[in-house]
Amino acid sequence: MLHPHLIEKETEHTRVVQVDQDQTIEAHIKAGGSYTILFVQSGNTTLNTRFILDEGATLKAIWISHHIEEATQNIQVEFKGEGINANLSGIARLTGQQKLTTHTHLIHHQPNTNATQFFKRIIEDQAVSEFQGLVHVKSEAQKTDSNQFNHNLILSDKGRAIARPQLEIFADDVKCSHGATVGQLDEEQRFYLQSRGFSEDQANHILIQGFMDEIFDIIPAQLDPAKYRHLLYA
Amino acid sequence: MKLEIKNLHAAIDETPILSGVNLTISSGEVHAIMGPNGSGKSTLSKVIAGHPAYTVTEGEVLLNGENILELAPEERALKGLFLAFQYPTEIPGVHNANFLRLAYNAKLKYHGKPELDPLEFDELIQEKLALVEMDSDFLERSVNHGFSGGEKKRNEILQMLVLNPGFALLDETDSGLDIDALRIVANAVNTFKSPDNAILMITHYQRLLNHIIPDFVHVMANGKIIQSGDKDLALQLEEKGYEWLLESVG
Ligand SMILES: Nc1ncnc2c1ncn2[C@@H]1O[C@H](COP(=O)(O)OP(=O)(O)OP(=O)(O)O)[C@@H](O)[C@H]1O
Ligand SMILES: [Mg+2]
Repeated sequence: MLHPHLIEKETEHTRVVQVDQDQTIEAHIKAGGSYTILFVQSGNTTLNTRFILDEGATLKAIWISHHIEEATQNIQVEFKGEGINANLSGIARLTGQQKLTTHTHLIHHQPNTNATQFFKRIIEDQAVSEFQGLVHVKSEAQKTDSNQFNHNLILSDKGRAIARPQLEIFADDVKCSHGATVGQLDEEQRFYLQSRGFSEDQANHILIQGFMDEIFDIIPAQLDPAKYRHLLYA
Repeated sequence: MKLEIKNLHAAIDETPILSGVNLTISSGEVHAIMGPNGSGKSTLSKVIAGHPAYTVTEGEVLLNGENILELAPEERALKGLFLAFQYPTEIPGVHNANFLRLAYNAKLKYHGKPELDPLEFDELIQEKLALVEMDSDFLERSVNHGFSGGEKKRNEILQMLVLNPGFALLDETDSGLDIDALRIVANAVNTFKSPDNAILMITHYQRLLNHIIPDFVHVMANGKIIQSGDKDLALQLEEKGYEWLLESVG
């Protein structure tokens, strides 16, 4: 059953959703409304989310994945008014044979909207991350500012990350970008930490935490980000 | 504290960069190394600190008589070596204050002393921040992340003050500092300076040496120290450049 979350005009809501079975969540944020939503996904699950944003709406959505098996996130965001701000981010730590697939689909219908996608994955063992991000900008949607980042930190020889950014732009005055990186821990950063007295293992640990904390820092303090950080570090 | 560099040769990707560096630095001394771009000054500093990209092909580096070339970088640091980098590395996501506190405590632990809790550490850090006239906002940011060139250099000196090394190697700490910042950083280094520690500064500018007076000035060229003297050597270089020296050594 579908229960759309309705965020009324000029109101502010915060919510945490635990996802341990397949779920579809739809939210409609009315004019000037603000919604912060945190998904905590685990297991062998598919999570479908769809957001409809009206004029001046603000969305902050964060997807945390931990102890998944083969999990999927389908994320759709419709920018139906002007002056919308959407901030989508995600963090996952994938180990063993785990596989996480994330599909984002942003549709900018109206002018002057702002979107940031910031998805990070830590990949160990034979785990696989697949990220496919589609940004669609309609011809009326001038001054769209839509950026997409997918950063993958691979800590094993057999881990894999697949990034497929896709831009479909029909307006001429827009700022859209995408960046995907796949890398190991940075040797210069590790050396810097070692030169300050941290062992190689400690340095690696600090760097992995730092990589994740860029996402955990986005979680509002009232939701106790430390609680979720433990889920990934455990 | 004594650092002895003996006939040090080092290469990167099989390209020799250092070709026989000899230098001895003792407690209470300030040394400066000057020299043309690409002569191997930063390479020397990173080899001393233990950067994995360089291979030492010959020679030794002794810290208080112990050859440190076999030690991991962190062991060298814990024994009192500190390198202020020419290009400090940005580490996004790693909180500056936590990083400093952990580094400080790692050192205390190594020396068998009790660690400081965050409150006690805050007192210490505030005092050091004041010395480099840095805003405490910098503590809440990620290590060097998005810092301006000059801010990064100041942050290096802040770390030096906190970790209080016996041997500090400052690689072009003055480059990128504005006039006021240069004075502030130089004062901080002078405050740090003591009969128990030694400082090696790499610089291109005589200006720095007006603020921090060196006991010895060395010129490095083609991976070697080709000339050593006192602070007047720096004045001479300022006036004449390196050409005459390079010619005289052939
Ligand atoms: N990875 C590398 N591969 C090849 N050559 C390198 C590498 N790293 C450094 N070098 C070379 O080693 C030489 C010494 O470099 P180094 O950074 O030590 O010079 P420097 O004296 O510090 O110069 P500057 O005054 O410009 O800072 C340079 O010629 C440089 O190009
Ligand atoms: Mg250099």
